[in-house]
Amino acid sequence: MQVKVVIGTLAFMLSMIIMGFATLREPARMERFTLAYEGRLIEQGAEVYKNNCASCHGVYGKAEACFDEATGEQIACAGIPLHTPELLCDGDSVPLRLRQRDWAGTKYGYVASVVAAGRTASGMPTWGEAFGGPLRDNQVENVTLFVLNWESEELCAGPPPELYAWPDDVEDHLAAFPGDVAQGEAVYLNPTYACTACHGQMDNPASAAIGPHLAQIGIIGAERVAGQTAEQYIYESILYPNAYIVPDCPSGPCASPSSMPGNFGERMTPEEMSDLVVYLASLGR
Amino acid sequence: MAENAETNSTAGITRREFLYYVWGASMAVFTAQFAGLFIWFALPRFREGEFGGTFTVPIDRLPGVNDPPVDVPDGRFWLVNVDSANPQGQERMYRVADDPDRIAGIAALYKVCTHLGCIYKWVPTANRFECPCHGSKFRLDGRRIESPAGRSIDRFELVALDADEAVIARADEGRNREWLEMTLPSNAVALRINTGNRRDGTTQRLLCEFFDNCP
Amino acid sequence: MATFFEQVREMGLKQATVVKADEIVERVTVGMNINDIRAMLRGDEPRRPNPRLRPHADGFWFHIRPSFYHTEVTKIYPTFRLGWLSTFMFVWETITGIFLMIFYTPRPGTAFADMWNIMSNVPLGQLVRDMHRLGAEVMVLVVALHMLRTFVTGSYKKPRQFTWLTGMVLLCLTLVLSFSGYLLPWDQLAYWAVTVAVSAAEAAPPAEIVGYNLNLLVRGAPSFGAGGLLRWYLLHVLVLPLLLAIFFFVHYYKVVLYGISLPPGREEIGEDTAKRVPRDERTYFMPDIITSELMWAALATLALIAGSLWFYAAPLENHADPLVTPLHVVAPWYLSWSQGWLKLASKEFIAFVFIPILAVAFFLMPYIEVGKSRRYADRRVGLSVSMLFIAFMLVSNWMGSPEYLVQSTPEIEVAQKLIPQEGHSHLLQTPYEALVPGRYVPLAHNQEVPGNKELTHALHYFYDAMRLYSCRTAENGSGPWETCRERVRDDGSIQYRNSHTSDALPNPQAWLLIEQFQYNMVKLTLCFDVTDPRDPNVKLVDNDCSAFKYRHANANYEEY
Repeated sequence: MQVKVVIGTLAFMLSMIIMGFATLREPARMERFTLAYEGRLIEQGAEVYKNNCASCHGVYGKAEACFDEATGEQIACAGIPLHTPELLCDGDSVPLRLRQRDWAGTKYGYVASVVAAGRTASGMPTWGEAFGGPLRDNQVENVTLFVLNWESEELCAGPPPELYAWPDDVEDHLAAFPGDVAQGEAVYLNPTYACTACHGQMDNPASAAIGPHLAQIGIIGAERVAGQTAEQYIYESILYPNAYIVPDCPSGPCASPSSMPGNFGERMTPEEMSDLVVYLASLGR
Repeated sequence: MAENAETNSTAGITRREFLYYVWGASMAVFTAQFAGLFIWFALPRFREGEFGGTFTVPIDRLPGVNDPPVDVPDGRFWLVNVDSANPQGQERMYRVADDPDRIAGIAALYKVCTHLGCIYKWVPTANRFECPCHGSKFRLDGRRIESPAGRSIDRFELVALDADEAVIARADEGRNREWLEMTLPSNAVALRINTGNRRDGTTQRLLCEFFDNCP
Repeated sequence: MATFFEQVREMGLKQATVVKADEIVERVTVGMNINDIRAMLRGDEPRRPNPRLRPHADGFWFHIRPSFYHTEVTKIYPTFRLGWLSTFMFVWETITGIFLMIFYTPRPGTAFADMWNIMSNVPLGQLVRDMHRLGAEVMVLVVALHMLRTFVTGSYKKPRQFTWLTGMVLLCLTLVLSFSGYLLPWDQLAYWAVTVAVSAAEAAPPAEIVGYNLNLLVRGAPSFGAGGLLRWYLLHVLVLPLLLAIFFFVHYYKVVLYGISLPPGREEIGEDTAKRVPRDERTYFMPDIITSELMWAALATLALIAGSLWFYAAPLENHADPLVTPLHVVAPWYLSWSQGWLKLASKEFIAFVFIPILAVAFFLMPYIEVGKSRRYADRRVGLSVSMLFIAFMLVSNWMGSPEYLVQSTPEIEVAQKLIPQEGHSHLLQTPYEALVPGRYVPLAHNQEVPGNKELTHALHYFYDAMRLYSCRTAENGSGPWETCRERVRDDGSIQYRNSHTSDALPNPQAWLLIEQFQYNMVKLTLCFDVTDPRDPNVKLVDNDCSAFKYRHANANYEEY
């Protein structure tokens, strides 16, 4: 009987020692598991991205290397770059793209809300279940964490990105960035900017459904606004669509405010703008 | 009963009996350890950004000196930036006779009224906090203008962080262990407010007594 | 009884305090004062009338415990203390379960996050969870062993038939309790294992009326979601424990009423002398049994704590995805036998004919098997049948595992071993630093990647996996695989077999690509390429790189 008492005492004491041991290593373990949880969510997010986002935003999030899901062929990227300092680097406390969009919250909130609710104007689908999309809330969270994980010291090492300040005079801009007409045609046809969606194909006037057909814009553009060359007119039309509303559009009077997206200035590179301006200015001449 | 109690005190403890007592003691210690570990287990922990935990706020969210307070709803606090010596904003922040010479700095005011727990509001037209429940009113820095609140607004612990997230300044404690306003260092990049560390406000005279307009 | 103050005046403060304390002890213990307790602890003979019997006669906590046992049943044999251990496990599960309930909400949007919160943000949370899950598996095993012991010692016979029946109910409740808890983490394992097991409900005949509605009752919706999770949570934390407690008390009352049966050899055939215990063969509850029980409680606690901490890790896969069923979905081991049977016969037959007949047979067995003798020599048929049944269950359990009759194509099986959709593998457990970007082929055990022991180990495992599913053709064969055995199928295609599988890859090329995808995450891709041995222009598997997994630096697969 005494043996049982001794065994019982030893068992309780050993249990206490083991619990003490577990307690001591617990804070470090919790830290590792906290990191592990986020890491695994990012892994899951990478899969969501690959299956849903890569065909528009690019395999590596740079709006390059987009492949058609069904055929595997390479296609033009319809989405904007995500793996960029504009979105991810905090420079002086708010990433550039958040400032452009007037977003007052966090990066996480910005990415999660755009993923979940979509942006119908620019073609970004609605993904979140709460808004009728196919992804569950945890999948939206996972892919958001994945995108944010593209932020690294290397990515943000350079100077913080600044919005290109478009000069008022197109000649100043063309002096810095000479344009190429052939490249400009490619910009016009680029599905990312979707010019053809409203202004149609150049060789088919009937295909312009919403905006004016542009096959003669090199001549007409010089006559729209007094004192503006065709280049200046085209340049301002792209950057500030509401500066001048054309009276006639294919489906009736042109809408005011303009139906043309107002954010090309944020989305286009200086080179693309120059190419497009010289290309359009060459039409009709 | 009494006879049994008497014979009890004369007999010594046998080894077998003693072993039982040791076992009993080990069970008591085990139970004590269990209870302590259970409390550790059951006490909730809060991550950054959860009320009860810390909130990191970049300094560009701070209000200007003596400007109306900035709301941080998740953290349930107002951020205030006061300077009683600054002529601008005197309608919101002013000095009375028993205030220190200068009240200046940043503070994080808990949004819960110190009377009975309602959420007071900032009333721009009156340039003060007012509680809808029983009419307590507070100055921009949280000191009571009118009762029935019993003390000035409670505050959370506040530290300033530099670009490497190192702590470069903290709010000091006053005589009654209350949090005082913190001067913001020039190289501060963000503030960290710890909503798990709240200190009571002080009990000073009502400000309305200085203006003779207490209700 | 004089008041305290009167006693103080009479005999002084110290003496009065001792007397008062003594009174309190006697009231709390329902009949034993300090002297009685000390005498008990010392091993002295009790005074008359025996105070150690009073807690059993008059007290609440001990009224259902017998005041003495027959000494023959207090040793390890014949009970192995399994009934006691079953009760201990129920108490263990209840306590650890309540602790987990502090941090868990049964809602699909939050349940999975709550699990990770418990494991990463609650101190000792992983330990409590592991203790609960390990305890559940131990409890199922202990209850089953208790049933086996009761059968073997013939303790189900008259007058204990009803005790057996309630015990069978308790076994079923234990299984359903364990199973209902399985769903709660709301990960892929939970969701699909329970979906598969419950799918039989839909088939309840007539399917359109009974089956359809039964499915809705059980799942709260046509498939598992918020309704189902809440229902199973309610079952798991309230309804089933309540039922278990009720049946436990009936069961235990009967156990005490008839007494624990003696070892078969100790009694005459057909006799039941469990309640007629001669004075010299009594072991009293106080202090001997209670000492024993406390000691076993301490040992069981120690074993469960140490086991949960060092030898067990409750798994947590990825978030439940109702649209994607991962490969190799398995039932928990104690239900694997049902999955095995379902591979052989239709679910209607198994769920509504076979299992009910088996259950009825088990429940009513003591009313059918009415032989008088409990001796092993007289029960050879019964004991043999039970051994055969156990063997049958073990084989059924194995049949329930993915190795039996569930096979995809060989490249998918190899991929599943290396980068499974859910769960662990040698490759995943390789430390992140060893996953150096590059292209790697399976390595034989005498080869290595210089300076990278961990990756070498994973590539050896790749090699072993390939060996199971690859072969080398007799003509123009290549690769370190065993020779193919070829068989022409009816349609003219060739089936390549090796000693492990009947569907092997002939002369395969396989490689592992490691690519740095983000600064702290790599992408692991497995590629396969198999040329048709009969025609070099035809590919049986054409550069198939569809098996991949992302591996984050912090994911900690090494530890969990």
